[in-house]
Amino acid sequence: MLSPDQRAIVQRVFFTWVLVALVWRAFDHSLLMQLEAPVLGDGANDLTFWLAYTLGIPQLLTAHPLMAGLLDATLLGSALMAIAVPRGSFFPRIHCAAALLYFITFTTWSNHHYRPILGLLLAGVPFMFRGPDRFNFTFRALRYYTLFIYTSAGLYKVFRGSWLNPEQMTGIIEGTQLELFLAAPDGWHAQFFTWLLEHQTVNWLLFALATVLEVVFVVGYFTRRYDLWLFAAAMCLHIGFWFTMRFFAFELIVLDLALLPWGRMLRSSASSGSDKMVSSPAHATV
Amino acid sequence: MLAAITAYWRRTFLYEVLQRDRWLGVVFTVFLLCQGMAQVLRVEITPFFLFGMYSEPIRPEPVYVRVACTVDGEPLTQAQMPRFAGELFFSTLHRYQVLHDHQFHDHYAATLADELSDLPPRLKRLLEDRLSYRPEHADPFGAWTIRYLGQALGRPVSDIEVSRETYRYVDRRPQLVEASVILRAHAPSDVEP
Repeated sequence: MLSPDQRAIVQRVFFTWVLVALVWRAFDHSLLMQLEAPVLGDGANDLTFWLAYTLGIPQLLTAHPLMAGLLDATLLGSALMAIAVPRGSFFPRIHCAAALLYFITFTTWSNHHYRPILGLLLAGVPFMFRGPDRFNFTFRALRYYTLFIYTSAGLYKVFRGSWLNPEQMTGIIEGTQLELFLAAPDGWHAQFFTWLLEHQTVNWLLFALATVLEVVFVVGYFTRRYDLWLFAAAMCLHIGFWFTMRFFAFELIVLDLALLPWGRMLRSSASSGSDKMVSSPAHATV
Repeated sequence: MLAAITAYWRRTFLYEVLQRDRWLGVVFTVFLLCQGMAQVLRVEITPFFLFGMYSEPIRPEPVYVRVACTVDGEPLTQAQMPRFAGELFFSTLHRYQVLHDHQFHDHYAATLADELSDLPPRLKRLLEDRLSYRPEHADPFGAWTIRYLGQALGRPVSDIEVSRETYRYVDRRPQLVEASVILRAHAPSDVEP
């Protein structure tokens, strides 16, 4: 259980991460006001997106600069205020509502179901609750959801048999790195991909290793004892994804922070609230 | 056996929440059930996501398709743009290329017919009409490519040409097989599809 003092620190850390991600998006011309009123969108096969598009929500939020700017300002402002007022739940609530609208709108117009943005949305959910019990339960639920992301990603690969497919990484590299091979064929990353294509056993082993690392997260459902190791595994996976797929999900990493033992890490700094603090049990099941 | 299951259930996180905060426990239970149904039915309905990226067996293809973009006579690659802007712009061009490949018949009609056939015909027509690409989108789309690139590149853009290129890997290097122009857009809004 995290005390109110510890919760305030954790809220600041989470929303600082979110704010950095949003500022990065602003520099990359990816806030709604910067989209220049796009016209070709895709709701993929997500029925929530279909509903939003049919109701004209993404169109409304990007067709008018005022509406787009208002949502962008709300998104950035609520994250900033959640840092400035770390004991309140009002700004995290505003942020989550704005992040949901941003997620649906940006993903629709990007024509690519880019899931890492959901980190911006989910990271704020526990902080929507002011009561210590409700916050702590939701924060633990966020940890379970983070475990679910990795575990299900690994289990899909196991049950669909792709982890035993020796050509899996070859197919992925050829399909996803075509642009790199054409744009910078002599760069170190293209050279590395070429080496991986020449050594199919190695690239398959990397894929199998990633699958194993993902499935290992199932341990977290039964105990919190290995959470630091799971956090390290998550970081290894993100670094590995960047080296082997050039995919870096900065916005999703914020969810990995839920695996850190915040209670133990902040024990000394939150001593003023120590009468309410209970150390994290090493046992947890869902 | 039943006693063991009951004892295990009483040690779970969900049981603890249901005991101490019934409302939150019910919310978690409903979320869990919906997420489970989404997994079983393999249907994605935000916020119930499926995390199965790259889990289908993938094999090397004989050829790969990409979209190439030329801006005012100079080639523009995704790497030359800011990361998220590049992803958005080139994903949108890729969607346009897929539409072009299918003579601008969008994928929604097939999805509605195959996977949502039980919906009332009126609702299906409404969804298809609202969601699908229509020929009248061509001019505004071309104009948007000019506007967005101008904004993302930080300079005025006059002409854009988008090509569909096919590549084959020869000795682990992509070799161009064929290329054809699929879109030309000129500032302010003239488009030749």
